[in-house]
Amino acid sequence: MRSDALKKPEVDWILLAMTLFESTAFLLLAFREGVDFVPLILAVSMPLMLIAQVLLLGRAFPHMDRYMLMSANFLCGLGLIMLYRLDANLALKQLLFYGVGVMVMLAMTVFTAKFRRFSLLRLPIMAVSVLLLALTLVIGKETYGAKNWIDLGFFSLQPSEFVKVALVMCLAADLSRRRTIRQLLPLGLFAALCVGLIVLQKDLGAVLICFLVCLTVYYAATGNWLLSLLGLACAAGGSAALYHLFDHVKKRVSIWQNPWASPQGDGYQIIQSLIAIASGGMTGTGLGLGTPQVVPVVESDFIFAAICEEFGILVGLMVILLYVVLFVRGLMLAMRAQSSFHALLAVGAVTSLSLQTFMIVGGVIKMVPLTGVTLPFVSYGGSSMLSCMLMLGILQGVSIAVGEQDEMRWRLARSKEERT
Amino acid sequence: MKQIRKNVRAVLALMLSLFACLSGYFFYAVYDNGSRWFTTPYNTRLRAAKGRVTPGDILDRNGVVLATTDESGARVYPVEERMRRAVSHVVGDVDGDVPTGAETFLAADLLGFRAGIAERAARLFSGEVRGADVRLTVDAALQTEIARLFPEAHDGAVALIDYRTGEVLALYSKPEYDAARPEGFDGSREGVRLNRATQGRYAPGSVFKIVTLVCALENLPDVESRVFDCAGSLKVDDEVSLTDSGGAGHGRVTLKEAFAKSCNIAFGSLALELGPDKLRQTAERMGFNGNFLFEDLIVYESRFPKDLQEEGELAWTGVDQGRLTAVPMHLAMIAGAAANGGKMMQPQMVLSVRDSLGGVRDRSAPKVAQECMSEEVAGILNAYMIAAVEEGTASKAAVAGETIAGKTGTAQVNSSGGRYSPHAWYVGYCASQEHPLAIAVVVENGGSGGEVAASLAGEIMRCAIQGAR
Repeated sequence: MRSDALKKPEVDWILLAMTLFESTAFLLLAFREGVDFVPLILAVSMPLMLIAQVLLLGRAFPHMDRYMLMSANFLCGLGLIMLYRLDANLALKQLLFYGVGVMVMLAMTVFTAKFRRFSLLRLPIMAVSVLLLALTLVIGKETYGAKNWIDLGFFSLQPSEFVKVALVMCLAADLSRRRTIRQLLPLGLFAALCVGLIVLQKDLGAVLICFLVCLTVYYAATGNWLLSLLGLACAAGGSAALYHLFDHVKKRVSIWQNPWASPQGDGYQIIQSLIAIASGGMTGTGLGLGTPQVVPVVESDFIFAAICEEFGILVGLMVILLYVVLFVRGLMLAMRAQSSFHALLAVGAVTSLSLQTFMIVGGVIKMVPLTGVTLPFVSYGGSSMLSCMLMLGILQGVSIAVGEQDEMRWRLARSKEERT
Repeated sequence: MKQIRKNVRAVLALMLSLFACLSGYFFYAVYDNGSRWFTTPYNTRLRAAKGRVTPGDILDRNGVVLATTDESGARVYPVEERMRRAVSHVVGDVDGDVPTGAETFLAADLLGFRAGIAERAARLFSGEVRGADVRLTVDAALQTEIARLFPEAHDGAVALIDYRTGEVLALYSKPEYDAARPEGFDGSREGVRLNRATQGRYAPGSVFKIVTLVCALENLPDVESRVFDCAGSLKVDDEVSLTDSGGAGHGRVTLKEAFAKSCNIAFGSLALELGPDKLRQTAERMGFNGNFLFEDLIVYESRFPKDLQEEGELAWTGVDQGRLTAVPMHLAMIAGAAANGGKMMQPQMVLSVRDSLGGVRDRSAPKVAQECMSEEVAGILNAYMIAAVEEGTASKAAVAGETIAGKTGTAQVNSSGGRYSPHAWYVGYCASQEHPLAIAVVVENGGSGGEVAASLAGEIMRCAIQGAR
């Protein structure tokens, strides 16, 4: 058990590979036309950030999960590289979000690992979440058919991103200790309100994620196949209802079925995305040598297409693999956890991140209808970055708690051995 | 906690399979469709690349240069006008207005997007980017001859393939256009952009009796020994009755005679006996309702209606009409399958690709696209189709000294603007091993298939065989 807490040699090699990748990419960007100093600085600072996090934080919190940390940070780095290539100003903003995100992640890590009285906080969190969502409906602004942004002047906030985190925490807190219908009533009400309000915002990607996260955490907590399947049936029925209620859902589905019907109109985005992916081939056109900017919203929802074009299908598959590392490590944590609260927290965070990844990657490659969600850690966007970092913080907190618990048991066992 | 652990394991399994599907689909989709996505006319990269890259040449199978780039960087088509027009749909155009043409469809090669590492390195040193030269399987001289033979007053299409390798020897579509004179392109005539040989959906006429015959041979063991009594018309139900053209009737005929003489009564009753499901199964095995997205070309799907219920329509479907549509190239492939022991070969348009460093990539080995019928059934069909040429409706397709097999069709076209002459069809092949040629000809509003299409096909076959000698 203790061996897990010790640094493993392959971590060095992975770090080296990631560092090389990031540095070379930023150096390429620096000497694209003349000399650009910002990427030159990033070529040094981004790898340093990665190494510092893994080595220093690893020393401060020996039970942090280095693989998750490396995966997420590398994905952020890749996102920054791509963004800088697409639009340097966006990349600088994203750099700020990334920096704040790391802080937020650390805070969340400590909070999850050390804070023991979450039940005190859950009601206020629920109230604030619902209020935020309601407020969005009133003063929110609409983009791409969904009314899910609050404009704060200097920063646009997407409350549904944070509500996901709140939902994960409340689900874990309540489902880990409460069992009867009456005890679960506040949680049920909260979940229903969240889903309902997000439906009203017409942010259907977020609706789907919230609903499925609820369902998965519920299943993990109770093992109730019957009710979970019933919930899934409800999700299907609900989707069908939404399909008939909202025209833009109908449109999304028909675009998915045959984007080639209107290649210059509704199908334009997805077709350009497919063309971009196909243009790169296995090994990509090379950074800066493709033209991914013809894909609309390439910097956020469609960044995966840009990565595939310039870095190639193989790197695209590697990106998918990094998310797999993230969720496999997360669910392994959930299996090791002694407290059901921690186990369910990990399940919730993992489900949210991986479903979101599945939906957007699947949408970009035309496997499923497109739902406007971001690619975690990679896409441009402050709210998305912070919410993903919060999820990572939850996972790291659980990792610390689980590691300490294992270490405690190991010590106990050893002292017992010594006594006998 | 034990319970939770078990549940989490289930969640893990679910997630892993979800992501396995995602990666699998991703890889498969790009592998399967990547080059087609890339070569759509909506790809702005192609147009952009034309500024930086010197596109490679397009040659025919004998090395005739059909398209090249001159010193000033302009794209030119350096053959005489007659040939230029004859191969116009095969070659395509610079602007991607004819998206199935080589200029667009093979752009990945022509513009050097498929270059290997050595070639990319060479570009860094020379600073010049040149695409690869593409050698097509098409014989431009033969295709010019086809254009000359084609009835002047009519539109239509011809597809000629080598049924052993799948190589496309000619793919002619009329109306043509002149790639060197794009201004004559827009206003002139409607449907000029369409390659009718691969994209034209026509009513197949009696040519479809090939499918009905195969279905009957497969499902009715005694059918070959049957005798049909043809009085010239057959009442199917209260509204519909089948008629033969002319209406005189063929009298008592065997199945072979019925096929050779294209007897609607015999084949209509066979279709009724077989039923819509069996007929559809056979049609789909022969490629109807299927997507033909090949490496080098796209053939639009031929359609067999999926909701065929009415007896009357079924009977007519068995002989020709109904809501059936067929694409000339597809019918040439079916004829090729009949000649090739039931194996339909995947068509190929590219003979070889020569990259800017001189490396040559030959076409891939012939592949079977579809097993259309058993070798035994193909043998019987072969005999019947030979009979149709030797003593039946397709006699005008005969070529002296060669064994020709074929089937004619005369497809009624009803348009709102009144009654037009029917489309004339001929589908057939040369049975000899030295000249493995399969052909489909459609002459729009050309009249009788046995007259117009069969004699045209016969002349084309004669040319192709002489050219090969």
